Amino acid sequence: MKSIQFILAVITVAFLVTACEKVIDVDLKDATPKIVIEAVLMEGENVFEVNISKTAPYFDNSPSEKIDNAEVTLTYLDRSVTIPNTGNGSYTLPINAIINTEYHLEVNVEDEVYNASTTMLDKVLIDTIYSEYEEGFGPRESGYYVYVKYTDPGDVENFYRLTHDVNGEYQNTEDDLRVFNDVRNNGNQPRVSLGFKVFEEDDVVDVKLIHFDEASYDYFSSLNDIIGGSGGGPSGGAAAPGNPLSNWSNNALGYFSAYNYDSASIIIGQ
Amino acid sequence: MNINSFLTIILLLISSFSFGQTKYTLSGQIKDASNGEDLPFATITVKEQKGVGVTANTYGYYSLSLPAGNYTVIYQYIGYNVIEKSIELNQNISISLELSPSAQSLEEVVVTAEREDRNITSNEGSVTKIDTKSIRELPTFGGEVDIIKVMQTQPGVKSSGEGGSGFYVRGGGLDQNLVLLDEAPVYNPSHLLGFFSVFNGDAIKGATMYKGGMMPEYGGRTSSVLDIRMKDGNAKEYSVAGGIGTIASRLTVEGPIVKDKGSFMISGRRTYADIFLGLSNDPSFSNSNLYFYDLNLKANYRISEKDRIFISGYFGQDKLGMDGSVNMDYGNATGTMRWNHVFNSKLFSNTSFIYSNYNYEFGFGEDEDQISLESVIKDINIKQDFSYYASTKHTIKFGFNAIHHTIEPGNLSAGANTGVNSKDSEKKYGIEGALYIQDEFKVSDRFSLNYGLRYSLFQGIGTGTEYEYNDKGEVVGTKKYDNGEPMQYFGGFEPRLSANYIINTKSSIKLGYNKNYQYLHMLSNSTSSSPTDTWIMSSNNVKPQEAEQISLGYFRNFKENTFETSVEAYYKDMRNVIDYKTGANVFLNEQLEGDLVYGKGRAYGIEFMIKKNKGRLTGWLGYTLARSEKQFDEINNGQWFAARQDRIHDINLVAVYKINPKLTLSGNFVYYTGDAVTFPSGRYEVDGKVVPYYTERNGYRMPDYHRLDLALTWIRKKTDKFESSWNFSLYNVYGRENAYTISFVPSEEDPNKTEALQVALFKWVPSVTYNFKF
Repeated sequence: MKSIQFILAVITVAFLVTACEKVIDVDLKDATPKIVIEAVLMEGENVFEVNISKTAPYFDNSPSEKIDNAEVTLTYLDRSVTIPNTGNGSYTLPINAIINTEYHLEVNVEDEVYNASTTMLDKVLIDTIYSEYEEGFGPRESGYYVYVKYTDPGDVENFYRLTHDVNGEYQNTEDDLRVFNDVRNNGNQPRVSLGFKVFEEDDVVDVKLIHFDEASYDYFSSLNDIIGGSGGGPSGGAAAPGNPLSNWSNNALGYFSAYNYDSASIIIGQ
Repeated sequence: MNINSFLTIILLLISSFSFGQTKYTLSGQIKDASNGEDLPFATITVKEQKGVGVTANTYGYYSLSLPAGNYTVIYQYIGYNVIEKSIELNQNISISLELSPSAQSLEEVVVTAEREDRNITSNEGSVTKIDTKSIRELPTFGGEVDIIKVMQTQPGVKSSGEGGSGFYVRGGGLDQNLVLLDEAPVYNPSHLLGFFSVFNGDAIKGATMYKGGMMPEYGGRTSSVLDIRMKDGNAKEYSVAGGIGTIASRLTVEGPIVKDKGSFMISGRRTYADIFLGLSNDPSFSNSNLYFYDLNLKANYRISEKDRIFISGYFGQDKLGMDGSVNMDYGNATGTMRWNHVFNSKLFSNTSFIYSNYNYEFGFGEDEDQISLESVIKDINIKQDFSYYASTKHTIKFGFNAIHHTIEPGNLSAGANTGVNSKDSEKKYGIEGALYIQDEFKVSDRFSLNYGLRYSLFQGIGTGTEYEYNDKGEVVGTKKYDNGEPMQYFGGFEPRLSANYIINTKSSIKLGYNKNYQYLHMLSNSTSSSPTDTWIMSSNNVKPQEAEQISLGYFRNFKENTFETSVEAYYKDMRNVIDYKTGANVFLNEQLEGDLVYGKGRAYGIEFMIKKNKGRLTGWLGYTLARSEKQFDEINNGQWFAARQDRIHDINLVAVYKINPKLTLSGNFVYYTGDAVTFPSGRYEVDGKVVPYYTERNGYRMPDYHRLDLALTWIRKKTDKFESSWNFSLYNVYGRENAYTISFVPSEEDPNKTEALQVALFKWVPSVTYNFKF
């Protein structure tokens, strides 16, 4: 879908030389603040972090309201642990997350209870990472493109996210959000790119291939449509603009996801 | 309306035919004397018998039964000299004749009717007819005369957006319009992502739009019918016409096959932006493709006094992209073969065999890295229509239609390096059928009634797979069907009615009612027409869309038909309307039906129109006050919300002023309320990104849209042998930056801040076109 949008963009740019952009004032309503819970569990011994906040008016550029009075409980393998608040809406505790285990998180805020579950899957290994110099065209730039190959397990449906750092810096713009499944390449050795991102010689690129469950994929995939799309326009990513598909009950925003990942690194041009 | 009572009424009315007197039939063909083209809808009236008359059909054929006697028959078509003929009717006689265009070009009308007071006398509310000839002097976009863009200036018809050739009719959706080119459905009538329609002005004779009260011969879409007819070709002499414009060039050759017996027309158009790109030194431009072309062909031949054959075809393609890197090609092909047969002076028949194909191909990369996707929609269609001119009071039309649909949603092929599996999505097959009958009944010289019934059906056919979904859209069951095995069946009666009561020679009241079913549905990720829009058939999950509309209009003409005015109100009730669940993925999704939701719609409004037909200044002013709303249990907590096309106020002004016989100035002004859209009502941070928080569907408005276009047409030369003219157009004269998209994005200066970014497409688009004819 991204590539279709890309080609439509190429054509639109080529054709509409007179298109003009400007920042405008739009009068938006202020919705009743809503709870947002973000929690990621990493495979192995790591500090598990849960962040709880509330939505803010859209053009309100101050930091959003953090929630420090929640009760957060992680349940797995007949065990229940309370994740203590460490200030600024954050709740942390070291957890040794193991594969093939279902984790359940319960958050209790102001007499409302929110629940979500996620399963830690096994690792999918990166087979190779390489870069190629490619000529650009239209809005696609010339430069080094980075590709990753991995072997998709053929017996089940798999869902992935690809993240990367450049020279030690985590890349996190909306164009860097890469999520995909194996519907079109189940059991193959697919090649995936870091989108249309180009790199320069001597850049150090560290890539993480995250393997996660379907609910996590649904969240990030719908998030991608929303942040990649536009409000009123014909080229919006989502067929129907809405909030991402969350695995939280009780209409909380955000997600609870377990990441198992493999890393690979490359120095461009070497 | 109850079907049984409806049938009873039909039987009663038909039994009221008079059989008493000896009657004879006057029939024949009416043509344009200048080029031999048929004059559809020309009117034939009888001086001695008030209120007796008939309108020629789309092939120019007419038939009129009268008691024996002497009569003066008047043949007329607006913009043409009237012919009066005295006849002695004591046997069935056939009179075919040619009307010549009237010389007073200063009195040329903009949107023609066939008779000056047709606005009052015809039993057609909610219908607009446009001749291509009459719109040549209007402002254009990119120099291309485009009949769809002119239709969009009519009350109740709204453009899909800036420059778009998609349209909304009376609050209905983009896919609810049946667009026919010589009877063949055109699935994607747009070029270059919608900025141009596929209808080359040089090849098109005219178009008729039914916004409501459709005749029973039409069906398959719930909102409107746009029936576009190609030129037949000059049956008198060879002629060549063409034009060179800013965007495209055109050439049309037409002439007789055998004089007055048959003619042909070939018309082509091609854009040449890519030729300029080819001159560029930058290989990324010189290797790019960015063009479209159209080819229209038509031939007709009269085999005998009673038989006439028409063959017409259309081929068009868009080729967009870069050699070896990325490409998107799409286009339509249609073919129609028609056979007119006059069984006897009272029974006229037309049989059509129609083929229609729309395909797109989209590819990325080269050789082993290539991924490409192809999708096809194919129709094979047979249509049989009979007209039985029973008496001066009744004209019965009946017939049937059967269409075999094939949809190939997507065939994905991928090179070895991509790691993607090549896969052909399951093809879908279905048959759409219809039977209809209607009676045009002149109850009295003041009251006429056009009523009928259509039964339409849809039968899905195997090979195919049906999926069952739970509330979450997950597949909980599948059912396979073998080759040729019947799948889902749907069918229903579609009653149609239009009535006209003439109050006096200046005014009339018209009432219309129609019910329509739609079995094919378009799903789109976007609001402008995109070549990758997906069509789906009705199935176990997708019920046919239904619409019922009732409309009431008052029509009045002033100053001897110089001014036509009308007020029309309508209410439309829509069922099984389709929308998406949040996060639905339209692209190549075999389980797409699980992501859809089904609800209701309602649209209502009032349309005002003032039109000036004569004099140096002609044109029209239209205003529509209308709403269009939808309701789904799954969206907005089940509350009604505004449809995207809910443009409350819509104003169109079109004016043409003849400065002198050589110079014409024209203008077009548009204003409408901004589309209903979904904007965020809050924000939050997740994954280190600012995410918009949405609370309601379509709860906001785009800024209001308005624009003025001007054009100047200068006739350089006009002799019998050679004509040439220049057309200078300026689109968006005052450079209004109309919002095309508004996105909510992090600010470029400070990523922690968010802002609303508006993109406007065209500030000014000038164009120059040179047209010639010899």
